[in-house]
Amino acid sequence: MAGGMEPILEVRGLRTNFETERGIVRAVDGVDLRVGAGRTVAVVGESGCGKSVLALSILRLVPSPPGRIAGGEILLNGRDLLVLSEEEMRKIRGREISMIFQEPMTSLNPVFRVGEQIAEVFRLHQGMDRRQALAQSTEMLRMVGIPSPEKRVRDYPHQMSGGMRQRVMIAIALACRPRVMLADEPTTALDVTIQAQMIDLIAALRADTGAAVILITHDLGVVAEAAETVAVMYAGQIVEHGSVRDLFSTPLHPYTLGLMNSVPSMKGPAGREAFLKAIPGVVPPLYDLPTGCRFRDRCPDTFPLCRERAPILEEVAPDHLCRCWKYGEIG
Amino acid sequence: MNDLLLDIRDLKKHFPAPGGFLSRGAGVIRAVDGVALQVQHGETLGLVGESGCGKSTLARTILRLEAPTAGQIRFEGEDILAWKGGALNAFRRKVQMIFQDPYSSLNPRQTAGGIIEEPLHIHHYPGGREEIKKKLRELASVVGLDEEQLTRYPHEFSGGQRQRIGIARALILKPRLVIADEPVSALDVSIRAQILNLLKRLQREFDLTYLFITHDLGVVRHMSDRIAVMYLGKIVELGGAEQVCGAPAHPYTKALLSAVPSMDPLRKSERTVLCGEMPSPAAPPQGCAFHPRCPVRIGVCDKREPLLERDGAGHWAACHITGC
Repeated sequence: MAGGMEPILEVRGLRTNFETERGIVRAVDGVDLRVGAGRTVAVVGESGCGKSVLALSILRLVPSPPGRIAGGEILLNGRDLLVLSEEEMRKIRGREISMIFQEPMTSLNPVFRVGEQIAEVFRLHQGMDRRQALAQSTEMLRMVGIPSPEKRVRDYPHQMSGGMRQRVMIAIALACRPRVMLADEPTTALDVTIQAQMIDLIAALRADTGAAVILITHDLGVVAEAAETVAVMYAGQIVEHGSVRDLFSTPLHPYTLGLMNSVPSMKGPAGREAFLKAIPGVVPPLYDLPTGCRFRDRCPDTFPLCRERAPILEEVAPDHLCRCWKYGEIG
Repeated sequence: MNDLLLDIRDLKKHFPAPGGFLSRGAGVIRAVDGVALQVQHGETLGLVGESGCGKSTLARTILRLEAPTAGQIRFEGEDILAWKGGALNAFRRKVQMIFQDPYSSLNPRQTAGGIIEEPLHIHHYPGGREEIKKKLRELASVVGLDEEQLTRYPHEFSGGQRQRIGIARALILKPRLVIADEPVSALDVSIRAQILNLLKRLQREFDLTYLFITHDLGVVRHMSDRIAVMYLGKIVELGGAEQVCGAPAHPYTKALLSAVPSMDPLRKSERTVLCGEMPSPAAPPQGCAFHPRCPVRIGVCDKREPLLERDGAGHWAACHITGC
């Protein structure tokens, strides 16, 4: 797969299942992904495509039961996280792999000052005392661009705006200079001007710390701005994978193309007669997937084969993979 | 212009600021602070701005869900602020709202059909049971719901389908003006496109006028004939969609546009990233409210408030420097 240099994190054939009343749901169904130091891989998809479960699986935070990682490997510098004990895993979370969540209000503890919440990371992972940890927290707030950090370190989350709270989340995630940063929709709840600030901040910190970033988002614009490589997910599987440049200039999978056409752009046609080329229908429920290709019911160009056999992820152009019979030998 | 539907003059809505424990009457929050807007029959006026700029309060004030502090609202030429009782009910039949979150705005204990037809009962629709059912079926098919789905409850629907229920409810009274407050923000990308297309189609079929509120500039450009940009309770720019998006006059609009991520990775945009955040509407800055974040401010900006002024082509902006 695309990536070039030695990956810091590599996911191989990951499968995560959930047992539900309606049967086994394969939320992540054979996903491969790799990301190198100082690089960003974006995972794009709509709700229910499995992108958040993928992130939780990497941290081994899938609620179990009903969830279970059923197969595959998650290699951090070559070491498989799936065979580690819970004790060993706890040392990895926050220190080597950290996560920025979507909703900074619900992810921060409302009854503790933000400074203490950052300090907790230093005390837990680096054994600092209270005073040292608080001083370090102030430094982190300064690093993520919060004005007058000496004062703000004493704020409670509700005293901050949404953008500030997201900065605090990023400060917590970066406190131990992790090698991998998982960002799950880090800008979704924010206004565009604050979103632009966050994209720039994550890029600057990535350059500074050399962390590898996995950016999970539904927003193709954010992908184009912030990542080098992109994986498009649909119904638990990667359907297209390539460099941001290739994927945006020559999208291969009909779903990727459909997503791009669904977004009203600042350049495209507008006005009364301008309709978007929407993808018909909805994402199928994972407990009731169609046979063959999972996208076929919504696809504009299907063949009889799409109904019969599931397509595989194949290299269609150099370093550009696609899961579609259109590009197969038979299609 | 031909057919003025909604005419808002110098509208203000101030809320008392929650004081501290010891301080009382800590001042006012100027959520809407002197807004003038005209909406023509049949047009889509887009209203953009970031959270906290007052756009939702403006919508609620137009619907008379909030009593304005000052100003005038005329609908079809009549002063709606003077209305009470029956006349107010008649007004509310003509103006309907589509909400952002189609889950929390639908009653979970009511079936989809019950939700959609409820406005008819509230407004004592004279038709009989059969006629109401017929209307309901017609409308369901127009917004893309199956008849058998009408007996289901909101939790059984996906987000997009729920928004279709919300749209059908808004349209069943055949309103003249529909205020849509972030109608697609909570939806997935592919579903968003379906709903935007539906709203455009319905506008034609039902001869609707839209006040379309959103923070998404791509969406507002796609949907609107004219766009108003709001910042800290005031309109800072107003003009045709192509004027505002293609040749923005106000530095705030320029910054907003440049913050929109481009879908073209080769053109990583030269952004004007605004520093800081919108100030609190409880303590708006002196002079131009945007001056603390403005990249091109000059001496006068923190002293005098710029007026919303118009150039020859109907493009308005409130800025000392680039104003029209």
